[in-house]
Amino acid sequence: MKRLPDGRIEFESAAEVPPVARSFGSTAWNRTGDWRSREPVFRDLTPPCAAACPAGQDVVDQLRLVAQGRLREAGEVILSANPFPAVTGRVCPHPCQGTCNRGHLDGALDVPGVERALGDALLAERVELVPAAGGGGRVAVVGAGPAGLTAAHYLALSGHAVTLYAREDRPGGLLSTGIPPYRLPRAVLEAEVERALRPGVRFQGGRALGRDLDLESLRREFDAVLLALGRHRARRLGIPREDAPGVVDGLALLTALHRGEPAPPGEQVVVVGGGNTALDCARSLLRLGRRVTVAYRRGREDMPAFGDEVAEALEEGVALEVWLLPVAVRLLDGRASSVQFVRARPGDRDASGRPRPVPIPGSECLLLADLVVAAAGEGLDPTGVPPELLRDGAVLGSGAVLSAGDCSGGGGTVAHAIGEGRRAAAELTARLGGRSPTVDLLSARGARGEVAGFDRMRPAYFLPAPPRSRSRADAAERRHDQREVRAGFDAAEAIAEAARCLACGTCTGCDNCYQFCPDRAVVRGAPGGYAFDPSRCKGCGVCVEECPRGAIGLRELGGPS
Amino acid sequence: MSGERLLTGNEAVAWAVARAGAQVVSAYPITPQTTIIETVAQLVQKEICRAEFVPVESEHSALAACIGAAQAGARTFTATSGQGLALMHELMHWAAGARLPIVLADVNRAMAPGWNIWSDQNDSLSQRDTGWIQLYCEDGQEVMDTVLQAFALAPRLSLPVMVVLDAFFLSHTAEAVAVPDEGEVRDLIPPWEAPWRIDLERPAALGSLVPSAEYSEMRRQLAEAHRHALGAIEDLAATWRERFGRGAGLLACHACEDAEEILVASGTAASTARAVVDGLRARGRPVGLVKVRTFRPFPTETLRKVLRAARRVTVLDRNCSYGASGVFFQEVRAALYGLPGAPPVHGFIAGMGGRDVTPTTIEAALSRAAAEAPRPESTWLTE
Repeated sequence: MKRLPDGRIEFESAAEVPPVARSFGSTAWNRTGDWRSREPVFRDLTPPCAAACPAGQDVVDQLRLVAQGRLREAGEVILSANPFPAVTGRVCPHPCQGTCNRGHLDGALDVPGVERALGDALLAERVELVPAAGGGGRVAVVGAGPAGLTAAHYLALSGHAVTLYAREDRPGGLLSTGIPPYRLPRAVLEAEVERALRPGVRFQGGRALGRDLDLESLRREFDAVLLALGRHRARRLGIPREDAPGVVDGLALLTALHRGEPAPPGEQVVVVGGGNTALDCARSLLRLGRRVTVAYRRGREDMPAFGDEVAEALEEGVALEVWLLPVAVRLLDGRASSVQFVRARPGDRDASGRPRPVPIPGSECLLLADLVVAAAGEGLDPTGVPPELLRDGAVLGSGAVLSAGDCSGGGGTVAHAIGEGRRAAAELTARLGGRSPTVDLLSARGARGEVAGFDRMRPAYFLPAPPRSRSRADAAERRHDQREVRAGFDAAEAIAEAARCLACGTCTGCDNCYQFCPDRAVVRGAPGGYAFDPSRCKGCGVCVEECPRGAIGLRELGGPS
Repeated sequence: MSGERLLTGNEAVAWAVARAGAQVVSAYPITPQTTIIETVAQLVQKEICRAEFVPVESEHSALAACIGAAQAGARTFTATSGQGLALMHELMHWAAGARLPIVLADVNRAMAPGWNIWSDQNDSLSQRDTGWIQLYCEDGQEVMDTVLQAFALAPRLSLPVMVVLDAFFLSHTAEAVAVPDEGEVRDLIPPWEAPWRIDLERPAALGSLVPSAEYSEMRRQLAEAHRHALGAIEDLAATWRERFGRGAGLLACHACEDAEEILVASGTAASTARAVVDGLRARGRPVGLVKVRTFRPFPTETLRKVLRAARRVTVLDRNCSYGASGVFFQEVRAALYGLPGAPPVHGFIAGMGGRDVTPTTIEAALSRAAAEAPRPESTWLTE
């Protein structure tokens, strides 16, 4: 047997040939990379939860850090997108959970449950972002709801001088006036609002636009003005006698209750509407011992109120009547005594995709009521907004005046308002100078816009881990007081639930690509996790197929990256 | 403790796997094999069998898992039938070419379509040229002993061994079977210590590119290993007879010494053939029976010795090589090639797709062989 200079072996006789082929030399000479017509692209995709989050949170990263028990870092991640996690963990309708890929397996993650536990822990541990110097602008923010507070907070963190004006004496906007304590305990809200103002926001309460403030003076006094006025003008029912005594507006009722004012008299209440305001009114009045019926003009599944709220209200004893169109308020001795309705049936679908209610002739009926709450939605109160900034019932930005939140026609949830407030702050900081404490977290870690849907996932790699449920306070007891309805996770439960996150579209360094590569072409420890060795990778795509999370793509050579 | 148990053929396979000390079992269920791996799984769960049971998603993967485990030196077993064996085909070549001592039980099942779960030999005989040893069984005891012998032969020869048993007639029929104690067979089943076994101290790439001259030399060595196997099978059979007082080697001959006509059969049809032979002998007709137990390597020399004095040979095939004839018929004719004064050979095909091979069937074959001139094709017995 002879070893040739190039490493090959030459047998001198057949007797020397072994029964099987073995090579003890390196196979590194075999440059299989030359065969490649495709190659892997190691890049994260956007997880469906993050794509669905109106506040723009990097849900996967915050869950990862919670699961690892890294509270402070989890706090920095979430607070750089959302200053109010303890609030949103309670009141957000959590579209993240609705799109969670784990829902195709053993149950979607309870993202709000984890967010709430994280938010509470951040308050208890006093975790907050550190202000950066540098911004030198003067900004007026008009409206101290979630959009205005968020914008003011991030602007102040960037070093700008921020004055935050509010109609109410205290900051919070809809969070305090519109959301009852059994859904959002006051202490939690106040602590997060206080933290949001702490970087140096100057708060001016009791100052309403068009009454105590005028936009022209604000423009002169400040470098920029952000209008975050919300929507708090009741939409009228458009029926006879809706202004009679005994008929009240839903948002005004909630505001009065929030201020500690007595509720209007009336034992038998009919709430007209199907949104969150209607349900909050119903449940708040129920807690004062009233008998309450909610009357909605379409079906239960069409109600704009969050599903949980409707279910909880029914559990507590609120009655629900659907497919009823209000016709008139009836009076007795000058006060509301009943509401006349006509029954409706589902008609064609409207722009919202829901069936239009079509009255059924001759089906009039009465619901007795000595208190009627009109909660058919809220519109913009344009007082003090010049006409050139108004279009289709929304406030537009122009020049040094920006708008954010509900008044600008956003998506209508707290999370939408937070997202818009944050983006407005980033926009102003870009104009006025200074460093923005908020970044697009996903693009900062290189994630592409494409969403990692369930078809990208390899579910065989994930062990079953059913979700843990959170209880509700007993309905018969909670209907008498303001105790928080929904239970939270303790720290261990929150960590365990966060650990269920599949990290869709996100490289977790699991090493599957490294292990499965038949050519040892996957290189560990490259920036961002992994890379491939072009001299070895033959473009087989095994790494792409075996990535549990869809965090590797495949690209044709010469094609788009 | 050794002792008799009432076992189906498939259960006998599983007990033999346990007694042989299998370390890795990987398989995918298919009728009529399934109860083998079910029983193995139960024996693993009861810790009677100390193997790692690897569930997989196909027969191809099952044999791939066995190849990996065997290459690492584990005593390895799998079982399959019909289409499952066909799906393994690519890796059947690999297992033999890599000279790995894997034991496989094939429960003979007819190939689809038409869909048929019953017994014939076309599945195992389609693997004829892969380089595996093939041993055919007649009854439950032979299944027990042959599986144990397969585990003994495979590491000695560095060859994979297939043990073949008929669907249902054998796989699902219970008989009293003597199950040897582990201690009674341990010394016969050596560890596999070929130099090409994976050695972490000496990393190597296996199955790499080989030029033509060296490749043909490796294949010649594979053929040579089969020639050695002939002697090894006979030696082991002798040891078995000494230790347990039973069992055949390459062939099992019955009443052949003075036979003028000899029947050649395999599998459970040999039992029926033996009864036919005894009945004809009682009526004064000098008939004998050769059961072919070892099909690969084919026992050419032994067969020539046994058949040379006969006036006529009749071969029963439960298979067909379409376009030619029954496979055992071809092999027997080839074995007698060039033998001066060799007897004429008659071929008959019966029992395909699990059809019964009755004494009447076999008697019809013998009668037609006596009445007709020999032909190169097999005659189908379809009544």
